[in-house]
Amino acid sequence: MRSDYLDNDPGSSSNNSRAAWASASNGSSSSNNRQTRIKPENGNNEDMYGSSSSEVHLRGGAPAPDYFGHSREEITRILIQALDDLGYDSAAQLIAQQSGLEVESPDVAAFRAAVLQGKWDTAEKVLWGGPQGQGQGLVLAPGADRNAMRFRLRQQKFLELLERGEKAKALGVLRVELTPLCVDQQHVLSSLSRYLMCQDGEDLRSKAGWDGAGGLSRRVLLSQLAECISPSVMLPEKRLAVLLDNVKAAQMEKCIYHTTDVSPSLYSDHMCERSQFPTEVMLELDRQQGEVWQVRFSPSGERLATCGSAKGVCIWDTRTFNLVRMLNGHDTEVSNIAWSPDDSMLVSCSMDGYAKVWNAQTGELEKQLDKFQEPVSSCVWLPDGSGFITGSLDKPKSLCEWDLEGNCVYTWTKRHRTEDLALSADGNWLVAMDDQCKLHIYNVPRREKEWEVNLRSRLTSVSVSKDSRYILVNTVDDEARLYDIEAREMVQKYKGHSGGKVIIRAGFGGASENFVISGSEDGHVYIWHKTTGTLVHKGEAHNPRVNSVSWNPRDSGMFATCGDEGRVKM
Amino acid sequence: MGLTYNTYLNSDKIYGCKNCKAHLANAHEIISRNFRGQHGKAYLFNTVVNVEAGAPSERNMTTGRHVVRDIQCRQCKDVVGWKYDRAYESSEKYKEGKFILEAELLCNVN
Repeated sequence: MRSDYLDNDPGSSSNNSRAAWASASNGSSSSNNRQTRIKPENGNNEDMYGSSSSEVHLRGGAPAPDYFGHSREEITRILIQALDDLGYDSAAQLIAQQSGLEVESPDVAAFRAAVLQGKWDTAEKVLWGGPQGQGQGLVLAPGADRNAMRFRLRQQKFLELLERGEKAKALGVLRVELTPLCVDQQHVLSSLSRYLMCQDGEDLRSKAGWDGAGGLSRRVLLSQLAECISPSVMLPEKRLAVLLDNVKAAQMEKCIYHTTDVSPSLYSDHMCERSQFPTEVMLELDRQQGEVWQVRFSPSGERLATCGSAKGVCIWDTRTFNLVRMLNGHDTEVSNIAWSPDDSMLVSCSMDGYAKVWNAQTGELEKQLDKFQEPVSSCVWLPDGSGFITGSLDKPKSLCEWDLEGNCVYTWTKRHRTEDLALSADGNWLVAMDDQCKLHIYNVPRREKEWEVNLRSRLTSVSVSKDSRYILVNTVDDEARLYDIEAREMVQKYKGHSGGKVIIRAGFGGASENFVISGSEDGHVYIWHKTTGTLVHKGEAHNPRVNSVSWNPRDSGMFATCGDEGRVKM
Repeated sequence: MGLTYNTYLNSDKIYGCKNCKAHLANAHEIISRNFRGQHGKAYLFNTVVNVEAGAPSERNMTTGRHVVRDIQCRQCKDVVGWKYDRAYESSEKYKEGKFILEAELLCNVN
């Protein structure tokens, strides 16, 4: 219980020098001291509240020092901040008066005002705590570097001066204030001095990626600096919302059969029933001849496209499950299909080296790309639908970007063959899987390769989660792996299904993409919980093997599987 | 049998199927050029890719009796050579498990 009270750094005692508890809106740091001081008195708070001008009346006499195990001070301040954010200003003020606590100490408030108004000298003074070094300035979070914060303040000052055209002053700032701070970071200094060359504010803004004094840059700076300030002195923004997000995320992760798209209500703990989880075959689509190799829902969830050894692409409507269109025109098997983000177009990739762009509504062939020497393996559309990228086993044209006219806009690489492609929903990462057990990750906006990883076993499919954070690869060694893009390491493994020599595809699915679903050589469809890796469902699907699976992006209770006997099951 | 892509080799000189250019073997990995098939010159390899082997049959060859299987290109099903399953003479045992590709049925792919 005692540990719930915030133990503030001794250094902050200077801040509390002006603390007189009687004044209602007192700096919060003073209350910290107050807490620590009364600790030895069995947490009896009579004098704490009795002396303030407003009194707290709670049922049962002396108010409890904590709220069911949580520090009273923390809860109250967080609540005040939340009420303020919600717009209930007067309520927030009332609570502040009643409890005598404030969301942030006057020092921090002064700092915030100084930064937002561009009064850099004031800001620095507050940061350092007085010209004579009296007091310690703002209390910082552990590990924060006062010099780094100072640098950021001065950098903003420099950029703003440049924007206003006061080059001489800016140069002065650069020389006198910034240079001594970056003794070993010459590149930073040189890039800043390059900005001196900019013609005017516009140029500066675009070159520096900075949106000007009038824009959000000051707020952004404040948020950055806020991270360095100790959270007990200045509450991180939206703290209550952040805490509740964590709770919801934790509950959703524990929910094994999570199938609702709705954000769980806070009134009760969240747990999905197994009955909601799709486990039964609702319908079989039987019109394809040959083997079905790929099944894909359109991004809106209204259409389903399948392709396979039957040389044509079938498009079905997901409400009536009628065959809506047949796209004929390939002379050989079609290995992969890709929907455009607005459902209007479809690219089909075939084994004879042709990639064709179709109008998905009318079924007409819009464009045919020049023949590749080897099979086209995959295709992904850019998020804005302005073009697409094809992956092929043809080395010189292995990863090419095309526009809607069929012109090759960019050749990404000629160094490896591409067997499967995936593009993150935010358009930042392009993941290409080659035939040598390697994954290549490219940064899309910069058009350069970020990293590659050798997974040591033959890969069969790759996909990226909708939140653009994870890559899922399926291997021939009976394993599917989840990689974190930013951290560049494997975070989870999924076992149980079998691979082999054939391309078996796996993907994400379910409400908020909580599940990993995969086909298998043994004819079953496997569904695992994404974060824990536990097998949630194993169902018989096709004979002899399940080639590909796709979850309806709009209806988390439906997914489709396809297999070698030419059937698609929903 | 599901979707499968061909295997691709990394080399500056690769032999491929004459018909469909599927990669078959790395020219630098020839073990011996001293073979003859029905169509003339043939090469012995340790490994070839993208081939399917047929049913085993016993054949009398210039070097003796062997059990061989014809191998065909996976993509276009053309016969490209054979594979040695068993050799009855001990001096020919080294061929077991290795592949013969007939030069006449191959082409160079870069």
